[in-house]
Amino acid sequence: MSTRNTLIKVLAVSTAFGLATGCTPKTQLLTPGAVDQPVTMGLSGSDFAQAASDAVQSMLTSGAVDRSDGKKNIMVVSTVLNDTMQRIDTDQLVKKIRVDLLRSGKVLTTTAIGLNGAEDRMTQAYGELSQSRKVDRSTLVRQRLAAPNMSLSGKIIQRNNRVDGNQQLVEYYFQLTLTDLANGLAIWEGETPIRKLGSAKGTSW
Amino acid sequence: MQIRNGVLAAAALALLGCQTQPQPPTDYPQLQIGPRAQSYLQIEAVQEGYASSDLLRAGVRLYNRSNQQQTLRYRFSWFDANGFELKGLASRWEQHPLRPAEPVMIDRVAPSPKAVRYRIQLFDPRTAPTHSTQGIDG
Repeated sequence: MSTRNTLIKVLAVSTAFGLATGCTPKTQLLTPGAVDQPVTMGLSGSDFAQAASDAVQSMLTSGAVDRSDGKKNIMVVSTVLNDTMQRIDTDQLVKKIRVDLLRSGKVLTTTAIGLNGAEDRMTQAYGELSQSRKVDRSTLVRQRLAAPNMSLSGKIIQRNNRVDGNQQLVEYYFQLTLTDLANGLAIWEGETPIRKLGSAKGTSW
Repeated sequence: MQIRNGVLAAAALALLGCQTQPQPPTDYPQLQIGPRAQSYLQIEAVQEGYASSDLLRAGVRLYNRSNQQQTLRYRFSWFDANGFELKGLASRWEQHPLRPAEPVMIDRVAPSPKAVRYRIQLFDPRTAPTHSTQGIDG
């Protein structure tokens, strides 16, 4: 009797295990830009790429980052506010813009100056190396930090609206401004709206 | 023997006629249009110029000649003087809805001043990825 019970238990456990593993969705590596990309109600990487691409294309075609003296613009990243219901790192947007502006050859971004201190604190630490006896001073270079001439700031906004009993419209607005630090005037402004319609049961945070 | 050769030649021609590989339209060698998109796309012009003084800018003006709304999937690829592809946000696969007969202009600025050549791929999202380079992003 006990052998039979044990056999039944083993069979039940192995069946349950088999079902559980069989029903587990397979982990897939998504190819960037593939047709069958999953669409989420929240913000995904492709939304940030879309907003960043729109911003850079608009900046380049507007002539806002053109200089007639052959020099490059030095940009500092100011505040990009996250006014959405999601916990997102706005660097997902800003980094894409920085990378593309750098590639364009028009804009360099300073990592030594920022509202919350230097992004790369090594610049300041390097300045203190001259005080150290351990460092061969002949290998030190004199620091002259480049001051920025433009600032990038912005905000990401989210609005949720119930369309009917079953659906909700989630709207995101990526608002960005490029300010000329010499006079405080906005020399470029852009807004990319991204709208998603989906089930009201789903959450976007 | 002659009949068999004739049948073989006809079969080969039929197969060639049925091929679904994307073909560049002869008027616009920079364009690569997928077989399904080719059935409803009407290309009006391909334009190029410069933005921000030294960045290559390219665009295509087109419309949907079918009676139904379509979705166009497109990508701009940029190449340097040595033929190497330049990566950037301007090389992403993107989509655009096409309402019947509505003229649409799609244009992009090259990611770098090194870009000297470009290619514009126009596909229908329903085209099987095996027939194109769809899915490979910049």
